[in-house]
Amino acid sequence: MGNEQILIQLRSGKQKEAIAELYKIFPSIRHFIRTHGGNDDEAKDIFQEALIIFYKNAMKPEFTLSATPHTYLFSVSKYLWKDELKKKNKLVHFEVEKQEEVSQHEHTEEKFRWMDKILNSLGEKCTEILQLFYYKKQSMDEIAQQLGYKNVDTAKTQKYKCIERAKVMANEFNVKTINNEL
Amino acid sequence: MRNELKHIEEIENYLSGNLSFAEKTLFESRMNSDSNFLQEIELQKSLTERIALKGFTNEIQNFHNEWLISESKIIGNGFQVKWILNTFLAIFITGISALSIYYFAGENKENLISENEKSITDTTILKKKKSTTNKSVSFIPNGPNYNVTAPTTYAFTPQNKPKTLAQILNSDSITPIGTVNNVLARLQVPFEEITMDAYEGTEFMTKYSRSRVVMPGGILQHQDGSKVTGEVTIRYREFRNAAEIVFSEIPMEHEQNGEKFQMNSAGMIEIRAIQNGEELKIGKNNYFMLDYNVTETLDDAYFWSMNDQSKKWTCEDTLKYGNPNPEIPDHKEENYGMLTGKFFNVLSKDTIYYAKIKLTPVGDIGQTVSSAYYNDTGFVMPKIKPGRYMATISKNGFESYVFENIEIVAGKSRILEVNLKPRKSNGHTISKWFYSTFNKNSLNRKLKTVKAHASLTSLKEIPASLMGEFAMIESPNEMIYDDMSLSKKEQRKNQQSANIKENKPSFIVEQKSKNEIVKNKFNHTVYGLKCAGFGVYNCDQIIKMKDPVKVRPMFRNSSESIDNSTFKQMFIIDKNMNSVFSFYGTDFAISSSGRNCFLLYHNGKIYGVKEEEFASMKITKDGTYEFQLTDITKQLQSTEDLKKYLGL
Repeated sequence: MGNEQILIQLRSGKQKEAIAELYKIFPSIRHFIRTHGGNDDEAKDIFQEALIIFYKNAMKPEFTLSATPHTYLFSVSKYLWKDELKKKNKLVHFEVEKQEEVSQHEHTEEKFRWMDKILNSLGEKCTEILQLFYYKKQSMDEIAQQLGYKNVDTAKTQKYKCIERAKVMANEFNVKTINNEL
Repeated sequence: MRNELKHIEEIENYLSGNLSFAEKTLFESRMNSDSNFLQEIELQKSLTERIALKGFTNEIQNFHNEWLISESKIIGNGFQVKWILNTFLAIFITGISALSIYYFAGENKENLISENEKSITDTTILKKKKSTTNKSVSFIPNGPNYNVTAPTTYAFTPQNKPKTLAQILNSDSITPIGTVNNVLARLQVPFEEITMDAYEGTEFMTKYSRSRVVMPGGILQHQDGSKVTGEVTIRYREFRNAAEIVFSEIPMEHEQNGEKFQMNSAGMIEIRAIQNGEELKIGKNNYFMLDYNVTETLDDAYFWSMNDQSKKWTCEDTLKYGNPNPEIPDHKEENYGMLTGKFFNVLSKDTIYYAKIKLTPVGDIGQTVSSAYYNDTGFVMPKIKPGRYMATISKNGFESYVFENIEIVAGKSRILEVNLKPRKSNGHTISKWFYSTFNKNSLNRKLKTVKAHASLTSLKEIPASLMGEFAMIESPNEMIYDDMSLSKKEQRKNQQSANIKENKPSFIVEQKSKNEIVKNKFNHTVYGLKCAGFGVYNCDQIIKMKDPVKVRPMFRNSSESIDNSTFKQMFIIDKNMNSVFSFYGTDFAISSSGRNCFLLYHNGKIYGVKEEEFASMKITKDGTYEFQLTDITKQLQSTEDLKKYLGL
């Protein structure tokens, strides 16, 4: 599968096909981590972190791949693992290339992690409709049909209500955080 | 739509590029002049991106579970037990969902099974050679590579649809993993293993049936399509009876043109190739050959391969029977030596966290023939050509210890114990080695020239007939047993007194079982079967169920009350056939003229109904029947126990 094909799949709601393809590199990464002081669980965490970084980049329209996605994932995973070993005060000797995306990812994670709590408290109905639209990239026609809404407009209204709710909660959260900091 | 919602819609249209030029200009003008508005846009953007990211995170989590399931099929007993235990439940339950056959939908609770319902299938035929009572099935594939593409047509309603893996794992009703694993893990057929060089290939005979496998060199590829080099492990196992098939996750059903068939096997084999944890594949237009010893000759039997993902069977070839395979030397082990051992004190305070040993032939520096990493159970280099080697020990990636001369003798195993605990002496780190059957005096002399300052002690040598059958057991305060003929208890007693005198860390080599060569017990061999990929292959006849009856079981058990309305994993073994029929639900189907046994897996336990108990119920028509279950969990320590229980 070509590099572009994977990006297209990730951007068009066919993430599972892309993930299946990307997972082909996992055994090699797991082997690398196993032989550099890690275990299978750690290998999984590192690899999935690398996948998330790849996904976030793939969502940027300007993002293109100079190497294969597998090479990219391997480099990022190695970098993440070296970083992890460093945090554990373990000495290690293997070469890694600096990965700008990783520090950027860590920064945005820190900045936006609080949003997960809000999204988790939106309820099943909202989660479903928002996931189908923003992640699975389904049209509102398809969503209305799939979730049994009366028509597209009703589905749209429901979607915007959910966004509104999330925004209200986010603003409340920010106000509380600011107050606590004060 | 309220104005607030229209406002959100407008922001969304802007973010997704759906505003006209005029609208966009106006929107951006406001955005640039109103910082609150800008913040609102950024918040909405971040929220929607986070929603997508959350979806992706969930999807990779779910995919990982699926991936583990597919990987588990290639994992034999050589892999870490802990991993297997943790994933076994997922593997099992998903398998059951996939295996469900003859599913019944639509019955109402008051009238569970209508007496007037039409029989499930047409007249059933179980056709074996020399059989006088049955008719042959009119299924003849169109020669090799006949691909069965008929879709599955089971009528699942939302209420009775088998759960997805994620649903099952999240279900409150799920049995604790530990409980499940213990019994099901015991009922797996273990993999046998041989190693080969990817370029050299190998030819071997399977341990159980003495079938011949010819694996040519140069046919293996990594998943990314690159050529495989170096040592490869071939894992294989055979399924020859229902006790071995029952928990294997191999579906014994086949659907063709909307008709369901049962599979009656004359022997199945699963073969995988592994290198560094990766399952390898066979390159395009390549194949390995199989001369397979079948358990019986069946009419209209064919050679089938199973797709690992879809669990569907493809007919590959006809079966050409011939005389049994001639014997070939078993693995040629007498031409190799084996090196086993263990690093200890690896996790010491000087941040050593991994260690590696590699062997290089003396006089051929730079060509590493074999290497092993430290792990919890020691290292094993099973196939080393006889000769003299230089052993290099690495800690944390640095070569720390070099021993110049280790002799590997054909048909013998060396056991090394490497103490990596560092202590300073004349500026050098000292390691202590224990080794087997070396010429102590000459080695000591040679080692004086080695900077590592090692001291050596004679240890145990293992004869070739036992090679590959030993387990390394960590036992820091015990010595190696010198006399393998002593009972374990006696050895431990001797050990304790030895330990008092010499407080040395060590490890135990424990004999698991003798590597007895099993002679071919089958009378017919199918020759020249081409296998273009790794996976499960089956020499099999497909048949329709004879005199089918639908059964809604009610269960009784003296020790536990079993809720009859919940879905369960049920298995029917008809002893007229070599097969297992799996059901996930509240009903199952049997052939009323079959010699049926019944197994139920529920709450981490296995319950059984033997053939004679089943027969006494006289089930001849559709309906609800009460089954008296016997909890057989404890008595099932292996597939052999299950075989005995079922009377196979």
